[in-house]
Amino acid sequence: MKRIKPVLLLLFLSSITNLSAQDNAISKYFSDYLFDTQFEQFKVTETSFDQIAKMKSEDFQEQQTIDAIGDLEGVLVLMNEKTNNSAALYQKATATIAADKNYEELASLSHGKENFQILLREELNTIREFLLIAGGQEHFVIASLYGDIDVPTIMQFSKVLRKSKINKDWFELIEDQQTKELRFNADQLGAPTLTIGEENMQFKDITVYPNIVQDQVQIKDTKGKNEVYQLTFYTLLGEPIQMKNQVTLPYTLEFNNLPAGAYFIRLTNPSGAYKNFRILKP
Amino acid sequence: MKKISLVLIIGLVGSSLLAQSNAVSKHFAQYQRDTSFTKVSVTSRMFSLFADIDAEDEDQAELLEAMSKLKGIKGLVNEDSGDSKSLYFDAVETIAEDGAYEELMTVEDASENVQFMIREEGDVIRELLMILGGNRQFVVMSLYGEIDLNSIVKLSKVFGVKGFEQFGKLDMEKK
Repeated sequence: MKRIKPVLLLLFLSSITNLSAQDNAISKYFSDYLFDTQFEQFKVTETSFDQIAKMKSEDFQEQQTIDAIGDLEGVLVLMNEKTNNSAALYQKATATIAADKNYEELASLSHGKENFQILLREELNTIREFLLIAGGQEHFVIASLYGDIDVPTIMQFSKVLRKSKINKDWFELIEDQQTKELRFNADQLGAPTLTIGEENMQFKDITVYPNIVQDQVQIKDTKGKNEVYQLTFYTLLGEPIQMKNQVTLPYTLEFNNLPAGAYFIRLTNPSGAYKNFRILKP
Repeated sequence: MKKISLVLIIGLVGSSLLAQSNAVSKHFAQYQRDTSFTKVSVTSRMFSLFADIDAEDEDQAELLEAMSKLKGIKGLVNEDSGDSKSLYFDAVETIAEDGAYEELMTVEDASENVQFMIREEGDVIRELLMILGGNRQFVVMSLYGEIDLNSIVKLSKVFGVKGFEQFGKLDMEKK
């Protein structure tokens, strides 16, 4: 028994730090640079991605793309353009990341004094981060895009952008000393083509658990409301698998006989508002 | 002691299995340290990302499929060399000595020489190698994995890596 305790304590502590730390390479390995005045920062926070995710589309695939943007957690870029030590900074950064087996290199280029490397980090079949490390004559950059990154779906976002008439008025660049933040704020700017997520409010007490499923998914209303829903169950490509009217919660959905892949559960309430929940069967 | 040596053996064998066997790694490591050479590397993980993307049309689907079979690209480029032709001949000779490579096509003219070579394993082309010299440029580019020449020709029209467009010359071979 004595031997087990320290191990349990360690596990407990490490799980706490995982919960509180931001899930990206910069927070994990390069947090010193966040306080170094030689480094300028650029970021996009989770709030902005959540704002973008409030957009609604009639098109199923577009809606998937919008939902996938909502799963992003942030962009963080650190730039040092005053250093004459960029080669050493680059070496140190790439060596640090190379020592972390969770990162896989995607591509690298070295051209004279310019070097860069792009990597990704994957956990449980989900891409959690894209990382860029670059070092040149007088600049050193580390950039991270992190969250739940669904590459094929997110790549469709440029199509959504083209169709939705999003314009630069919806973005604000907020500057504060060394930090620039790009904020997306549609509701304050009164954009008419963007539907504000009131429908999401109507579903805020609904939980769908687990979202990485083995055999069953439980849909519940945490407030115990007695609403009647239409439930539709789709594949990633929008093919309906099942539709049930008059569904009351809690409700259990069987995944046993289904192949691995991503699915959507759509709950529609009597007033026609709906919300899609993403489920992954590994 | 027994345990340690077993681990060492597994480590050695394991790492040689994992090591990418392509011309650039084997024969051109000498250029890795020379900053006048640009080095490019794209790994299979990058290509596997393309495999998951939904193609917008059949052409794109073919390209994505070809990319998903690549294990990597490694390239060496020197854009400003007075020795580009002799670098070319040295490289060709080095590869010819290797024995695993077969010449596929060569185009030589007054200003520029390009040679394509392949390394096969049974019926599968495992590596497509391009060596180019001339006009102050020297390029060695290796594509390895499972190579389909037709797809490579198509890729050469859209893939942005410098020197890759040369693979378009293989189109004449297919006709």
